[in-house]
Amino acid sequence: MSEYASLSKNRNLRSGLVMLLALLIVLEICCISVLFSQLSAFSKAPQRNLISLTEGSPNGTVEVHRRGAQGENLGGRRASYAPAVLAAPRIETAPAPLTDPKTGFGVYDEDTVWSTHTDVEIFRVSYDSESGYPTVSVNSSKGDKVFAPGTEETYSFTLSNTGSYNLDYILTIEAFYENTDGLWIPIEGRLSDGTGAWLVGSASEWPDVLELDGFRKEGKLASGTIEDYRIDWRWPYERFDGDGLDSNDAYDTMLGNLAVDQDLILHIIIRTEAWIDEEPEPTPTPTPVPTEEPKPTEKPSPTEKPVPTPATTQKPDTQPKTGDESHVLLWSVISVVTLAAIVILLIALRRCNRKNRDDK
Amino acid sequence: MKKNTVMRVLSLILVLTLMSTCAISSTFAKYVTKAEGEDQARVAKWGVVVTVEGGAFADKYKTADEAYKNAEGEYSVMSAVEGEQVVAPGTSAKEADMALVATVKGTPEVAARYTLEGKGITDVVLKKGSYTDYTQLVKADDGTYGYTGEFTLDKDYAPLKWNLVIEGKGVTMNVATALYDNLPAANLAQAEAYGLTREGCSIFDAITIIQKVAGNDGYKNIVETALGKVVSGGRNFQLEADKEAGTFKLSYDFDPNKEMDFTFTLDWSWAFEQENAELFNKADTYLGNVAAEVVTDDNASTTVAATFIATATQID
Repeated sequence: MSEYASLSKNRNLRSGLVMLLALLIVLEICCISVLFSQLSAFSKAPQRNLISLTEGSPNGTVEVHRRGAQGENLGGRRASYAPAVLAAPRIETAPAPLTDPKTGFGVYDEDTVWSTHTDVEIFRVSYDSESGYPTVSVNSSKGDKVFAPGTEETYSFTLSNTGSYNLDYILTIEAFYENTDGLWIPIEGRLSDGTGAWLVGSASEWPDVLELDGFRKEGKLASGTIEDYRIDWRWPYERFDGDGLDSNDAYDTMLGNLAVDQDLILHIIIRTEAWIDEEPEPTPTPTPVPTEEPKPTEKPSPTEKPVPTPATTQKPDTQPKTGDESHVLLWSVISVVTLAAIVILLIALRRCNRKNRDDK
Repeated sequence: MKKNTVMRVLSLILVLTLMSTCAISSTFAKYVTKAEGEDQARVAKWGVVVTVEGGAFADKYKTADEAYKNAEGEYSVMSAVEGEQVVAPGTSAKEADMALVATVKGTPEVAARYTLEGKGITDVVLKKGSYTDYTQLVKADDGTYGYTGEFTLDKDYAPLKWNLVIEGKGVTMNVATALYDNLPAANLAQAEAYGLTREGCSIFDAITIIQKVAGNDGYKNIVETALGKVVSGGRNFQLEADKEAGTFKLSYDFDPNKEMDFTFTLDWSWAFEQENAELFNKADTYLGNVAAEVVTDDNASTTVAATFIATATQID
């Protein structure tokens, strides 16, 4: 009777363990599914795997101000990810927009803080006259952006690092025509950086705008610094090259007439990508301060007692805050713990089975 | 068998866990921020079509005389050489169903300047002075007959009167009529002194008037206002003329996206009967004789010619 009771007890224990094991397996599968859905490149939210470099207040001196109406108009997530300005240390050549402290790396121009896909104002809907014509001399009829002979613009944008880590970054530019059927459009473009160095073209040389296509620059952006870039483009009103002015005017007119029924489109896409520079920051070598020759003093002054200075070294934040709300760490911990529990249960089950066999 | 299944499931879970751990570790190893700025634009539309069609003159003109028509006469003026265009008293562009028509159509997305330019202008002119009167034979004291009478022109005589008619959106503007309707009396008298008539004026009189008008905002505003009724969206009416060089140029600017759809028609006429008929009949006859090479006189020009160029240009 007691043997039967023991067998029944073991069988109950075994079935309980199996049920628990099944539950844990289901939990593990759920954890893995969640993790893959959040980390996969095919996740529905495309920006989910782009983790903004955001931090708490480095050095406790972040000053944050809204940009005003324009910044607020950005609204929602975009507005909250606008770059912040570090009060110190700061090596900035131009005033950066004052925005949310979360962002470390940011790109902005005078009107817009960039997000993953931002429509910027390289071109315009209308252009003022160069020759003193009292109104705009070019104006789109459909409200979209246009260019025409005699139009030109300068577009400046800034890469900023308001975080406390140095960044590596890549800047690439893509420029291409759409729907032109291979027709050449006489738009010229050039690119320069904030130091005035020409990256494409030069002060006297205006290459074809498609020369911008494929431009790639890898650079470093130290903490608290910015880098400016500028794209100039133009469609000369009068071109004397090639077959001469008359021929060029005829070609421009042909393009303008073709544009009545066919949109001849130029795209310019500027891509930036930045990540923390994993190389150790070179420690600045202290510049030797020239020591003054000691002057003979009539009366030696009493030496001041050294004032004990409070420890200025702040404990850096162990984990940077990110804008990612996916709780990957939590799910991964649950996954590992569940796996461990499954292994333990498996061992327990084997022992239970062995005991059952021994009892029989 | 059952054990193997359990082991397989567990192995799969283990592999998946390891894979997810790898994925997590690689993601945590590198924070990446991406930002992308994009813009696109298209070529602005032009699509302005300018035409100059027709001709001002013909080599023959139908008669207006009923008696001649009844006698089965069809043409009262006919060139001796077929295809060679001629003018004569009583002829006009309308009679010959001729008209020099310049059209402009289009709605460009850029500001545009329409220009009508005349070059190499020559006109039928008899300069002021005294000339032999070929309208009547005069009997001399000796009983012989000859053209011994004279007539005197106190200003250049240019019998062809030109006028410009502008049509757009169902509205027609006759420039001569507009000036007569809108010019103050004092200015109208001044314009008439330069040769303006209700039928228009000669090319060189027009140039003279244009030169005066161009320097007088009152005249220009009248023309521009009248033009504005025909052609909406225009501004900055400009007139330039050079009598010595035989050129004139008028231009009118259009803002972007303003529809340009109007027609310039150049009209002319040589009146058969004029106010001062006796004098001008003598002048007409003299010009006819010069054209026939009966008389040679450097003060008489019997050729009318002009090259008209219509252009629409983008304003920078």
